[in-house]
Amino acid sequence: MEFGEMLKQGLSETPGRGFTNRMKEQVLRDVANIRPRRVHRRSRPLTFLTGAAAVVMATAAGWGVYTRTHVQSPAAPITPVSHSMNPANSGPLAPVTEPLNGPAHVSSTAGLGDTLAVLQKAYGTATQVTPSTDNTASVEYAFPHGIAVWMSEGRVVEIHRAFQPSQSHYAHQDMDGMMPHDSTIQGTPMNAGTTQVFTYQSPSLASFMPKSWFGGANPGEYRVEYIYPSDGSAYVKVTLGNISGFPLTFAPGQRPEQTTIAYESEGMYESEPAKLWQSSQGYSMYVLSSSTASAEEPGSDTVFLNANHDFSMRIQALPSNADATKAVNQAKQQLSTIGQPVIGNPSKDFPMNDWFANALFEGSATHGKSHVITWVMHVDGRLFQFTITSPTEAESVSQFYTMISTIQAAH
Amino acid sequence: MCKLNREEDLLSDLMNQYGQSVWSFIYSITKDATITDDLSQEVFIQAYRHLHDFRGDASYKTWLFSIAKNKCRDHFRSAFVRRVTFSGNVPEDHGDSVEEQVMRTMQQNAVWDSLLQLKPAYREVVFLHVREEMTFGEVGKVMGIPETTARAKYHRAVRQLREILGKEMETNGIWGNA
Repeated sequence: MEFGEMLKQGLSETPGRGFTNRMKEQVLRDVANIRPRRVHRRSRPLTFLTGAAAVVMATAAGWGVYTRTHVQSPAAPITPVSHSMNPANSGPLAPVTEPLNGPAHVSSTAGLGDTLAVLQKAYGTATQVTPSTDNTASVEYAFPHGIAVWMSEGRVVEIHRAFQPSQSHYAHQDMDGMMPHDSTIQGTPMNAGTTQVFTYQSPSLASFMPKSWFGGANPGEYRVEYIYPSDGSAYVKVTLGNISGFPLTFAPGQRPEQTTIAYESEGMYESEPAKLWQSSQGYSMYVLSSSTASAEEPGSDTVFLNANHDFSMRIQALPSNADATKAVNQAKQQLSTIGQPVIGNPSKDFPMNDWFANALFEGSATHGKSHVITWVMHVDGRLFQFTITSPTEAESVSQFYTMISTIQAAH
Repeated sequence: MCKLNREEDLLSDLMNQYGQSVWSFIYSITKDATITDDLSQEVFIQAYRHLHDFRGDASYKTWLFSIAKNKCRDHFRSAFVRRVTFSGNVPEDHGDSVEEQVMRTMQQNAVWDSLLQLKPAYREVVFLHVREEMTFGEVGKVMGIPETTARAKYHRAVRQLREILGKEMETNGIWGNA
């Protein structure tokens, strides 16, 4: 029997009892009380997201966002679908119907102001994060589904939630479902780069929480920030009052020397310190602490992983008058000298990642035990070629992609 | 049973058509039947919640597997012990003879056991491409990786599978004169 057939035949068997009729019936019973959500899509300003990339970073002062708007200017102000929170929009997570330890109308879905017990009921057992990553007196808890909350005196005072690329378009609905139901939007939503900010006011929160918890803002006011990094995911941050500044953007040349970068590697989130590195080629980039960057030769820098120099990346910032077509052809030519080139389709391979989706060229080739991936793309209007080399058995080169997406280039 | 509405009809069809595949896919990742029972049900519940979000730019199959992949990711990412939510699981009788069951189990064990020895990403790509006959583009979509990466992972995975299965064959000879 041919190997492929053998494999197929073996795998065609279900290892065990599989998805039983009993399970199907259980699912049908469970969904009998759920109405599928009819999504009225928010008129999200995709245009300003296009070409914009952000890397969520935990700075010393807390979570910040670096935004890039190197291609297009921000779009018109955001028009939300409704000005009141709709409890029916409970998002992918099941709503909670438990009585709350507080005014019943604050939230039925364990939102801001509720207790840890209610949250745990809704989202599973939380893990206390020690020490809290923001070094404040509040206590941080991590829940499943990418939810982190900060508690003060037994109440939720801040919520962070991460959404995978496939779920990022649910972010608004999910967060609407988590917030107090008597909330009304305040003023005009703001947007800057890849961040949208909505301010809401909830009378129940005002009556429920000390005035001091809202900082200088009106009692009951809270802010919801939707952050859309370049990888297609979403990150939502809900804070009481007007604590911390907005917009959390950094102009070129004002980026902190050190920061912490969160990135995903093989399905797991990693968080790593990074230092700003200034290349003589006229760009800056955050270099993860597990890597080292250096000038290789004029017009070419190299970055390698400290633990294994077989993982490396060459960065070439091409001259401002470089011809993109020639650069792409040259990249193809270089790959063909390594092995049979496999040409990728960036917009198809990275449909949710506008940074890489807009690349001019993506290709790879394998030679012996080395695998080479080449990218040609514009960064801040300047043409770059990135050549990543890794052992063929390497699972991920996401560190390099992460570092690439922090590049800011001078024209 | 009460009359089902259109969404429930569709859900029922999806479970009939893809239930076993989704279950097996999740099992290939989690290696735990109880967790798989739980997650596979969650996949279909979540699919039901978002039936109206389904835009048709991917097949239901790709969509369901993407949900399944994310469910597994969430599961491993979460730092809590998942509670058992479904208490009614009992092994079902396949109706085969004992001999048939043993033969089948041996056969599936050889391939499945080998598959389960691979790294998670390799397991996924082999399962999706071989069992589900997905293109590398579809595999990449489910796994959230470029098509080229999916292809490269597949070739490495198959190379390893050959080695592992080769040893199995030498030991057990269950593939006869293959």
